[in-house]
Amino acid sequence: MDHTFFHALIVSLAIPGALYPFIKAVHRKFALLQKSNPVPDPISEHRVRVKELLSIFLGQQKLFQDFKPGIMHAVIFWGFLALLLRAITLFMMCLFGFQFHLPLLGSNQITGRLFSLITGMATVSVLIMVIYAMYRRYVQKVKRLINTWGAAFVLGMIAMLMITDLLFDGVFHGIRNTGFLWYSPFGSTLGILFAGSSGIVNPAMVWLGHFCIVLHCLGILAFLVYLPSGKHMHILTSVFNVYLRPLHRTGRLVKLDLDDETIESFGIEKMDDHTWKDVLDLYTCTECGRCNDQCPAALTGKSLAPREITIAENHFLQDEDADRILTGCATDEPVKQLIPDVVSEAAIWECTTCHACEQACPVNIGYVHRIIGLRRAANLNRGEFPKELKRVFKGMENNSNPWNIGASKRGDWASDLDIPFFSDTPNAEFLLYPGCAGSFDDRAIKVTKTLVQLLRKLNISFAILGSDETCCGETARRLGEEALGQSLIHANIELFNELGVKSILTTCPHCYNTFKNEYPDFGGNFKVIHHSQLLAGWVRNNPIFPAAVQLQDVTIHDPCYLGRVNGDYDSARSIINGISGLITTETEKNRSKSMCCGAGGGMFWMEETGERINHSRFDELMVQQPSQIAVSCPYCLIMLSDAAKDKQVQDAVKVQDVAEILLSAIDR
Amino acid sequence: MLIAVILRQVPDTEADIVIHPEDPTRIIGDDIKWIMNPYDEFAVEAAVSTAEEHSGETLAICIGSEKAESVIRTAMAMGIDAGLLIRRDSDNNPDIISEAKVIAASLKEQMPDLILCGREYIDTGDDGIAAALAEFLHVPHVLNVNKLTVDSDQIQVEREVDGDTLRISMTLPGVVSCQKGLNEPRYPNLMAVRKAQKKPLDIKSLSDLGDDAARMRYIALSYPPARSAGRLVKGEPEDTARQAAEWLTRDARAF
Repeated sequence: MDHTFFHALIVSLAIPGALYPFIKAVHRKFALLQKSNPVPDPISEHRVRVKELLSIFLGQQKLFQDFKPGIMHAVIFWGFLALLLRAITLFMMCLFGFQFHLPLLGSNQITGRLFSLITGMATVSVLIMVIYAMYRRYVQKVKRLINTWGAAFVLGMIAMLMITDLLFDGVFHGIRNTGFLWYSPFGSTLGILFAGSSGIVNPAMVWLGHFCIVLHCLGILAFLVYLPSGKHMHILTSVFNVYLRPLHRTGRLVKLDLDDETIESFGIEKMDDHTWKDVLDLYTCTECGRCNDQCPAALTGKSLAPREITIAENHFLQDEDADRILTGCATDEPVKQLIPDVVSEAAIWECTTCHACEQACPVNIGYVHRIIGLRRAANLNRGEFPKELKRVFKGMENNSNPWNIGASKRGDWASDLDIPFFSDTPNAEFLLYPGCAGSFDDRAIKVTKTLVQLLRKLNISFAILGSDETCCGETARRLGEEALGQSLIHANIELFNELGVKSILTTCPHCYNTFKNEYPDFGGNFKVIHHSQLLAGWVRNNPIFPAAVQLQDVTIHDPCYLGRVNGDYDSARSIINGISGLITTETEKNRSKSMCCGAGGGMFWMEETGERINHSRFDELMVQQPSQIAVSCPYCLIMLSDAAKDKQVQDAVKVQDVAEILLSAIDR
Repeated sequence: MLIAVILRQVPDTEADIVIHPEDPTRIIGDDIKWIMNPYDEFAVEAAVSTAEEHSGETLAICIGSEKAESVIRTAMAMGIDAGLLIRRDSDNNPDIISEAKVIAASLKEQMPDLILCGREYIDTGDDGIAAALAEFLHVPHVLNVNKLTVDSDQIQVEREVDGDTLRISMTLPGVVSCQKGLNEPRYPNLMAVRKAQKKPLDIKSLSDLGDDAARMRYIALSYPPARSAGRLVKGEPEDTARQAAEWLTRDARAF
């Protein structure tokens, strides 16, 4: 058995026939990338990027967040890497004869034998995983998967490629009567079966072998043609998408240049307003739905589903808008706006900016900044946003807090506590910045006061700004009101610098994040610490043994802007674990998978439709029936306390800040 | 069609009002936030949306000190085309009649088809500007309007009166004062704020417009009495109800 003229003819005709449409389609996609806006940051820190490439791309790390399908994908992925060389070999065998092998990979070389062993195992493993994938799609009917013809085609195609490879390999070994070979366990076993007791392979089987190798090659070429048109484009782009992720951008919005009078449109209004990385994100989406599975809005049946935004934008770009962008021709037709033509207006106002979708995405697709971009366009260019926000913006503008409570009352929480003002004690170690919630919300004020008691017990010097304190600007920016956000930020930086503030102690992770990650973009460089971090540092050295030990289960709710955004999952746990008698219990959605309480991204200030996020999160936290839920964010505290009240279980479970839990343990 | 809006700058509703220690006829105005009189926002929105619909032009007029320009700019950011600031050195005075007279004088050269204002100034509680202005301009007026439709030289308005709705038709030119519920005033977005900085603003002084000096002046301002502490009744429900009833009938003489 060897290759014939027909093998070579068919394959050599098919190669250019497939490469031409493939290259044309990829070139068009590349041209669209070139037409897009630059990314805000230089692509540097290659060491970090290579590390991410190894773990996220080669190691498939983020896929294992959803374990079983993660294994499935990883096996197919690693299998494909091995089979890439096998595919090249099969093509060459068709063209130049079945004795062909790549250098070092001949069947009488040890490297070749190991390679043969690996590819054989890969073929069978990939086949098993494809069957599992089909089972998930068509028997289990996993909710997050969309059963398109493309998905069916690709699964069928992979199965076909694996089967043809195995059958060809079987016939190949059968004819040569190799018997069982350790380095080709599947091929040689099939060979024994095909040869049978007579030791001669049936001529029909020989024909099948020829048919299989040609079909295999044609299948790969068909796959290549199909690749750029659908979600399997990720096979080409994911490596770049992982490598080119904007580093240091989680929780750090791009600063808009509001002084540039030549800019006539801010944010993302139309397709051209995207950066090339955004467009690469669109290409790379595999429609797996892991983002939707973690999105608090999507989980509670709202109109926002991150994957659907990406798919809609990608289809719109490919099918409708690409020609306009590529030719650059102004037509009579008005340029289609993303809202409402592609993305629903309601959806962008349902994002809590919790970053769970980005954490879930196996290929580093960014979502939050795109949604903020759409909000910025709606807000700054058109003045369109849910009407309840008008009062919030006016409150921030006129009284520097979203409640629109008189600015002069901001320091009232401290009126009977005799706390020095920073202007009088500029040598205080910390500026205690309780933020809007910690200054105006009754429940959050209790946490602020608790912290004051703890700081005094710990002999830590601190001072406040009283009624001079103003909103940090985080929420305004996340609601797309960049002008208001920036004016608040500038005012704060000016005040902090004037007073000589060096270290800021916050009670709110949102203030913490914006001071730490966003203020430097505006020239404000301060040391920032969240109270849970300060207290955790102390508890680690001074474990608490309450006089009256009570055994209690405490479930920890990780706030998005301490956990996912700033990577601090341990402070809250250190405090709870440092108190004798308290046992931390974990929910399924903890740490990087923690579900948002529903307040972030300004959602606290908007009407919520459908099932309430805080109820959903609360139910999840209550699965293990803890006696306490520990939070370290005033908004989480309010949202989850409200959920407990709504469900009338506020007596069964205490929702408390870690500072409150610590103080009561010290006092007990 | 020319639509004029009369504006006033007032202290923010949440501002901490402090009476000047040396001059009890005025408040300390420097440390507080000043905003557009909230009812005037309805007038601005009505003017802008009417002008948009009837391709008209809009003008905002405000009597105030230098800082009152920001109120006119805000109105411009909401869509008003041009502004007139009538400069006065002090903050607001109590003589609404003299204010109306000055504004009427400013409109001599070009009489608007429709003049809109808020139903009340939240700082001094005055609600007389619409009527006084109509009087000086010899045009009709209608107050506290919460629905307004304009067709060329006629307007149809509605106003609430004790459980009834009055529907009134008025021939223009005329003056209308706007009540809450008339519309949802728009939020000035950044692009509009930028454009507002370039819109034409005319500045005149009171004397330019023949102000004959206010005939009213403040004698003194004083704070309202501090609210006394409430009375807490404790005990079983029956007992607390009895205590409360006794207090209401005997001490408070509520019945």
